[in-house]
Amino acid sequence: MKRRDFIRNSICAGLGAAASSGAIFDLQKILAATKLSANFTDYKALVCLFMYGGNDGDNTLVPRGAGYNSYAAQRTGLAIPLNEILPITPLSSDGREWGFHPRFTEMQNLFDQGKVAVLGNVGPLAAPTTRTQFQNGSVPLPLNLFSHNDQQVQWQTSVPDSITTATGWAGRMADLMRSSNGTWQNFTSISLGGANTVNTGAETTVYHVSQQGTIGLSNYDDNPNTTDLKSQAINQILALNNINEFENEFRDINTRSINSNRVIRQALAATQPITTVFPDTNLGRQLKMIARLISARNNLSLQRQVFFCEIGGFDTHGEQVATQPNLLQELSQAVGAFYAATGELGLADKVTTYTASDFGRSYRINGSGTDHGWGNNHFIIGGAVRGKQIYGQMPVLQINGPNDTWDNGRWIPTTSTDAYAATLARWFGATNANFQTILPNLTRFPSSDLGFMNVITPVKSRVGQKIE
Amino acid sequence: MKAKNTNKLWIVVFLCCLSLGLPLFLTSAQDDKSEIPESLAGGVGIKADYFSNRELTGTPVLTRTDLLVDFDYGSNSPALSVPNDNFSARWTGQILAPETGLYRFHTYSDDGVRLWINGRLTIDNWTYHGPVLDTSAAVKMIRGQRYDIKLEFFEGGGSALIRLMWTPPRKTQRLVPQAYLFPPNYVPTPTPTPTATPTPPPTNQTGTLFLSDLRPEGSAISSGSGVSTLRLATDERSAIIKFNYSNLTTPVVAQHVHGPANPGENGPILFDFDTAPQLPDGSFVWTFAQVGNTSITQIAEAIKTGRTYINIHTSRYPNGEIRNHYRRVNGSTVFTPPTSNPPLSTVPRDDADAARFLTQATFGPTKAEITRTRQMGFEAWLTEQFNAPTTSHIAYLDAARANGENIYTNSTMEAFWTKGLRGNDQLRQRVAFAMSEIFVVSNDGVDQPYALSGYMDMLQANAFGNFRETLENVTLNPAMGEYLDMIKNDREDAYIGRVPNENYAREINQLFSIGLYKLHPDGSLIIDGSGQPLPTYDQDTVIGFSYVFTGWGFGGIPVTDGNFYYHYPDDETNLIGWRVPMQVYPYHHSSLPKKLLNGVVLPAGQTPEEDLEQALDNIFNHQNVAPFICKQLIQRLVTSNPSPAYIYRVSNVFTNNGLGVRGDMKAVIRAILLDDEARNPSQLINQGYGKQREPVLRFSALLRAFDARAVSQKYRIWNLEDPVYSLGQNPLRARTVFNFFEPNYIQPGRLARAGLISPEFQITNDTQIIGSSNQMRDIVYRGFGWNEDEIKLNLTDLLPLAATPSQLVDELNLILMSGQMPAQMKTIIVNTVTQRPANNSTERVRTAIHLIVTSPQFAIQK
Repeated sequence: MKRRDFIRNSICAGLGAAASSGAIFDLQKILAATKLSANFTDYKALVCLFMYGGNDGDNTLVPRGAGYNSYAAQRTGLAIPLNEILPITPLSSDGREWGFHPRFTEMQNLFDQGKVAVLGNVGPLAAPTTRTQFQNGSVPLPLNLFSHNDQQVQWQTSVPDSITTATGWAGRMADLMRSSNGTWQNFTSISLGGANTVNTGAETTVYHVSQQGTIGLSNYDDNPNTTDLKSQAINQILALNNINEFENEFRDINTRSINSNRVIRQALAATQPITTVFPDTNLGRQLKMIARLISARNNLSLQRQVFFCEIGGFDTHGEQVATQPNLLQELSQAVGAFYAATGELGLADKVTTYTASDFGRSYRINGSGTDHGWGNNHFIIGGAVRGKQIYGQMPVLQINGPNDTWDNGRWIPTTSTDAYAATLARWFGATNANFQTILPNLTRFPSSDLGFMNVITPVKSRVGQKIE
Repeated sequence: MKAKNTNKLWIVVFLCCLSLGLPLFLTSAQDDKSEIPESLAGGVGIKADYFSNRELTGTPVLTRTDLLVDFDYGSNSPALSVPNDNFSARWTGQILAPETGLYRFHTYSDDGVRLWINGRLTIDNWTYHGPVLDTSAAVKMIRGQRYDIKLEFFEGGGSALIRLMWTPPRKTQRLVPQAYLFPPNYVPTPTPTPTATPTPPPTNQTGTLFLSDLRPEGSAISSGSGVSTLRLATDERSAIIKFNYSNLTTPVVAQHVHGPANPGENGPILFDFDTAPQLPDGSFVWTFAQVGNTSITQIAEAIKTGRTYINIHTSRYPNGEIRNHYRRVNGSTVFTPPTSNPPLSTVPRDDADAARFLTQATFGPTKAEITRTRQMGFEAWLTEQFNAPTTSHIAYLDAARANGENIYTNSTMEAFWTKGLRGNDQLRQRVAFAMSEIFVVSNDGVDQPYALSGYMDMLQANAFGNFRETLENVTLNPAMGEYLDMIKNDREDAYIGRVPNENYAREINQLFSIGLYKLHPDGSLIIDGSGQPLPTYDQDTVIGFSYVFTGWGFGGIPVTDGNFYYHYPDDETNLIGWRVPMQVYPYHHSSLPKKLLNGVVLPAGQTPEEDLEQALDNIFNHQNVAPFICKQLIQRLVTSNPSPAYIYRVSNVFTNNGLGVRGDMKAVIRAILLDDEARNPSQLINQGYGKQREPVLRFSALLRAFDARAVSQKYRIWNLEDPVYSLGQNPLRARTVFNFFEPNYIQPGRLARAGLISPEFQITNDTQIIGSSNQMRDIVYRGFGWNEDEIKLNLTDLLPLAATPSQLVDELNLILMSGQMPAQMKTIIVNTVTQRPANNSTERVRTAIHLIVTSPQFAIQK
């Protein structure tokens, strides 16, 4: 199907049972709206890969060379044998040598190709924080440090000193950009990994899609010409005009939702199959569906999308060696396939994946596992990434050292989630004028661009034209 | 800024004839010392020419007027037509001196910059550099004179920024405000005469009232706040606006109304206060005029649909320091009590009235309860419910634990639902749930089963108590203490710079008792003589209360410093702290005096208990408590938009239950449920009556209607918050202290246009509406949960009706929809059921229930 025909068909269908002779007029309006709000000249997608539970970053990015012996001594039983570490050679170095976890094969390859960057010791901060300041309590700190749900939320809001923030930074960014998606703005934020805060905005709600496809009313045929009796009855009830305006509003959201589901399902069906082979794992299936949704972007005239996927099980208080390697392998294989799929779609430099997690884990081991930490090492993957490089500062792996909160190796982040997010947001098209909204705490930190993204594409609105 | 060679130094000799600007203020004598305020200066910004090279050569690629020179381009450029690197810009025009004296000018730039004032080169740093501040020599300027100004700038590569600032006499360094900048040869355009004479603008007291609470926006680190009222004239062609603000970080550089834009979005400027006529009382007259593509009608529409906001721009935050959207409110200077006082309705009119009452007062009607209520009447039903015994959530947990079960967060939910679905004290459970949505505590923040169970026990004990005790019990409950940081709140310590935590102090006032603005007894705003609402408290009051709430820690353990600081009841053997109120750790209580509401100050040196008692009395006796709390209870139980008269009638009962007692919750609940506005069926044909049934209440109504049970007799109802596979709402799991939805939330669009508050629509969206429909369908066709815990509907009583679909639908209409189903809807359902096989009664019944419980008409309670 040609794209134009597709849009026409789906919009006519989208007007559904309630559509009347005004359908052609409405169609023209919708198409006009689509065109008017096309502010970007290109497509970009930002994929949040959340590692639930708190990944042990110190066993994901592992010291080699002079730092290895101290690491091995500190983490007896958990340390990765030197000869199994996958070496990496960043373009520049702070003098220390590092490698990836042995199961990070695909990630190592992508790193070598310059498609993966590492961000060292990043985490939620309310202000730049030194060990002395932390211990004196002389700077504001994120609320409820080391608590799973609080830290998960703070990673996503990037406002760790507020309990009243219910929106995520990428959701607030989507609020500002969703108009560029025209008619189908409600597909701006799509989740394969359940409800999340990061991609929820004031206006932007998360649209959920399952690994198998879209989620519609169960046992309901959304063909406007359906012969299914109960589907017809639902349509008829949704076509009633009510005295009560609450009923009418509820009806309208319901109708829009049914139409959205049909449209996105048809858009998916109209795409070419993706030939890249994905691992048949939880994360692999999520990322495959995200790749398929991205391939349907033109059918929906979408220009900016944020996605969410997740992998859980990283809360390795015990038996870490039995769990973490498998999770890292699942991540590496799925991300490797996803990067290949974006290449297949010709969008390798238009899709950026970044990792997030509750927190890092304590460098000090507790027997067979590790406890909740704070700062963590993270990864940015994509063709627009200035890869083969470590950004920020890797933690000083030393109990009671300069990055340690106290004496368990819970690293005080040296880079804030604000700077991490701002660097991604700038690539995505955010301007300085947008950052007040997207990352309200950003100005507390020294950098708003960590440098790991290639920012070349012109963006939509520029600062300084008119003050708002 | 990238490293670049710096051997090129561009020096341009610029000759300019010195020209003193035209004296603008001819009437003001030269020795007038008063400063010309920005509001009278009349500047409109400065002309800007942008060049696509570093040398300011050729034709400008962009010419425009910049309001300020304050640009941080990052690695971008000023506009699409200008390259990201290797561009230059020249700003020309005039600058007005607001007073006579010596001025210094400053530029902050990356890369090169030079500045001429009156033709004299005063800053010259035409080099590649990172961000650098340059300062001129002092320049004498005379009040009311305009001086030529020229600023040039180039960007080589990397980041770019340019900022033009000055230090006026006796002032600090700041951006040069728009009001003092003019393009070259600027002549003010006379205000165009409107083609049609609008009706006179509204006065302070007429027109439709809108309110905006100005709060810090975006990254602004500010304790600034303000309030603005907007009165829309009845002809919708003009408005008057009044506003004030305080505690801004830096001087105001601009102030606008923007729109159309939904909350969270930015919109273009619709109205600039600095160019508008001002009335003697300080309010501004906004005569609507087309702005860009936005017509006069669209401006009025934007205001009415909640899509305009006021934004105050300051020199530190030129994009805006404080702002908020205008929302429609009721308000007046003088309170006129409603005249009509319809009697309470104590006798059910019919079964439908009984069902409607039970929908408001319980977790859902049953056929038996409808019949019983009809027979006994509302008064007797209420009396029975007020005296019905209840059971404890904590006791449920203890019993489960004694039975060898693990206790965790979902155990509280199991207790909650067992009582909510099966309890005979339905009114108490329903009111306690409503209270949990006002006095919000969430599992996201207090992840402890005993804490949340203890909290619900406390609320249900207070549901029929006195509001004064409720305030105290909420305040001293350890779950609330943990959630809003009152527990372990330590007294001030000047040595290490510690001050008490303000979290609970703020929320008990803002959310739990009085709100932000003074209210009439009917819940409308009190408007002062100049058209502004009156704040109920200021920051000093919040600080005062934060000192009151110091020195309280976990109870049930010895009072030691160690226990104050470190005790946390989180292991199974020592959970007493969640079961008992907080206790005093006197050493940690502040002995300073404490400022409270209405000018009350507590003396220094009182005990923690004395301070607490007097502070809570101070809140409890505030005039706002009755309308503020009564309105929210009405919203939870009956309707989202109660009339002022309804609020007034209930508030009066709160103030005095007839026996001289204030805060009697039983009397308040009775007044809410028996009020004419809750009972009179004439309300059913009003477009704005009623409310969306919260998802959990639709869910509970379905389970209760058909006696849902599991083989295990457990109600293991968990994870309802998932919007994909469940309801998108779970009791005790609000995401923030602002509840699942806020009491003043207005859904943009149709409901805003109708002037309707619609709290529950804040959690209604594309995914949630499908997910909750599927959850309801799944219960009808299968059940909730799995295996022996699967909760299934009992449809036995309905099966005989399947042969006569019309009777079946009538029965379901009564139980599920209080008999309010529209005739067309009944026809649709009857027709559909009739076409189901006659020999499959179960399918017929399920079809009917499914169509009802997923319909918009069921979702709205009327």
